[in-house]
Amino acid sequence: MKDSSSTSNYIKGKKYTIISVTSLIILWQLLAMWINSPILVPLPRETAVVFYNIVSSPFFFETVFTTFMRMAIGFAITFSSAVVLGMLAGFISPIYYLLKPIVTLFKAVPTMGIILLAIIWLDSNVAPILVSFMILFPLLFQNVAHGIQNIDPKLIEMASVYKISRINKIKNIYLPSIQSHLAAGISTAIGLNVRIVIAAEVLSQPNVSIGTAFQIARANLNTAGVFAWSIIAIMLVGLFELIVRLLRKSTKALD
Amino acid sequence: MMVKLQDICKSFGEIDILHRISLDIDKEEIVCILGPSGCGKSTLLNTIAGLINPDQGDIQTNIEKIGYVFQEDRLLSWKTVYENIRLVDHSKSAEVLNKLIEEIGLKGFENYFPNELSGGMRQRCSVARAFNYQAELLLMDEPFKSLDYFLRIKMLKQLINVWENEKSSICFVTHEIDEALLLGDRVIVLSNRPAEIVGSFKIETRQKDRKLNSETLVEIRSQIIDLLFESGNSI
Ligand SMILES: Nc1ncnc2c1ncn2[C@@H]1O[C@H](COP(=O)(O)OP(=O)(O)OP(=O)(O)O)[C@@H](O)[C@H]1O
Ligand SMILES: [Mg+2]
Repeated sequence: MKDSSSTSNYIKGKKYTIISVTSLIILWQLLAMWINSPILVPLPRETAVVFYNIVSSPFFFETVFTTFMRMAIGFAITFSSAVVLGMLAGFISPIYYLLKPIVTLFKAVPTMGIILLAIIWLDSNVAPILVSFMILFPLLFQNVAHGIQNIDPKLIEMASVYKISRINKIKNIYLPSIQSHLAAGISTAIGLNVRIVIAAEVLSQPNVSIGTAFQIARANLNTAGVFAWSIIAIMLVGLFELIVRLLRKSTKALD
Repeated sequence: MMVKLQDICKSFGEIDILHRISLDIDKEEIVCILGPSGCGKSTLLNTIAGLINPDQGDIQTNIEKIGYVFQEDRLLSWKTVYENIRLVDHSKSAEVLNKLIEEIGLKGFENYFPNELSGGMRQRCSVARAFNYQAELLLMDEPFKSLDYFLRIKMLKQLINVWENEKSSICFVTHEIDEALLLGDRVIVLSNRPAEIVGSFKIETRQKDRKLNSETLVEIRSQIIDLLFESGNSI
């Protein structure tokens, strides 16, 4: 019963997604026709042609793959350090209070400032990874630390009465609690990561990258190209979400 | 002697909760605790469990394994009934756990999550978790509170069975006088806050042979009611 209702919800959700995407494309078409200037707003059809040309060009795979790896490496480093430090901070409050000002500082520095500093300090190929770390770390770190701090103390009492081992406590109580806190954070972080890495690439201009491709399209007044690359970026977000979902499923299966 | 409390006092802030409680729980003994709502019964169990340090007095114990059915179920909401019960002892076989689940009346609900169960079912799951732990001392805080009359009697019988097999000691808090009369080797009555022991009744009859309408139990019941009236009705 549970399954059939969730399937019908899923189909219903899909139905509304299709409706909303279709109306968005219609609106875009109308807007483009009304403005009537492909440099400002290209037609959906033109964009589709440019999109096809980009995707079928010989450099497409390398470009997307390189940027994808920057995002994946940035995310992996940020995520694992946020989980480890967040857990330590959650358990040991001096660590939390030591890290808190740093995290607040990271959060307060404007994104542009971080990007420019990263470009000054690092090679253009790795600068975007540092930017991704500095923006995402505060978000994920706080999710983890708060997840630990907000665990119901009554459950911890229960675990101590039943002498549940430290490992089992982490596995059965702490990690699941963080997971529910992290779920929302991860989803936000994935979207943010894609945007930030591309923004950093636009400025740092590595030889091969989506950001560089954006910059080239803009310089050539190829607005359809900018649109097409944006669509590719959106697809990357979807790809990341899929990967995270699959990873989560496989860790659940491990249990 | 398994647990010996001597002159235990505890207050939270300005409010005195426990006042000079002295209580022994012997090996294989069932001690039932009755007392007005809010008098400090859960606080007393928490003190025995070592979760609360008394302000004064002394606790001696030679127990390693204490099981505790808390007043709230304290189940892990992300684990199923089966996993929650298994949590406290991973060494048990699936067969043993399934038998336990069947006896507690949760057969068919092994893979349900706590929020898919009724209050009484969650409570029984928490009882099964404590049974699975096979403690030397079992603390139970109104474990059968949201069960109907017949289920309650059934659970009591099962508790007595477990107790006879495991030879554990039990400290059982309840608001139901009859429950205490059927179960306790001793029934302790606490006063209103700050809780003091105002009555202690020993019942010699074997649990399995007890009848609520027997002369002794009827007599003890009326004494307990008198005590509760005297000490509890200050509201
Ligand atoms: N952690 C705490 N901090 C402050 N006060 C507390 C705390 N725990 C309990 N109390 C107070 O101690 C008193 C006794 O609480 P307790 O839970 O022991 O009562 P009880 O006899 O178990 O009541 P009930 O029958 O309703 O379960 C209450 O007045 C409560 O407000
Ligand atoms: Mg209580």
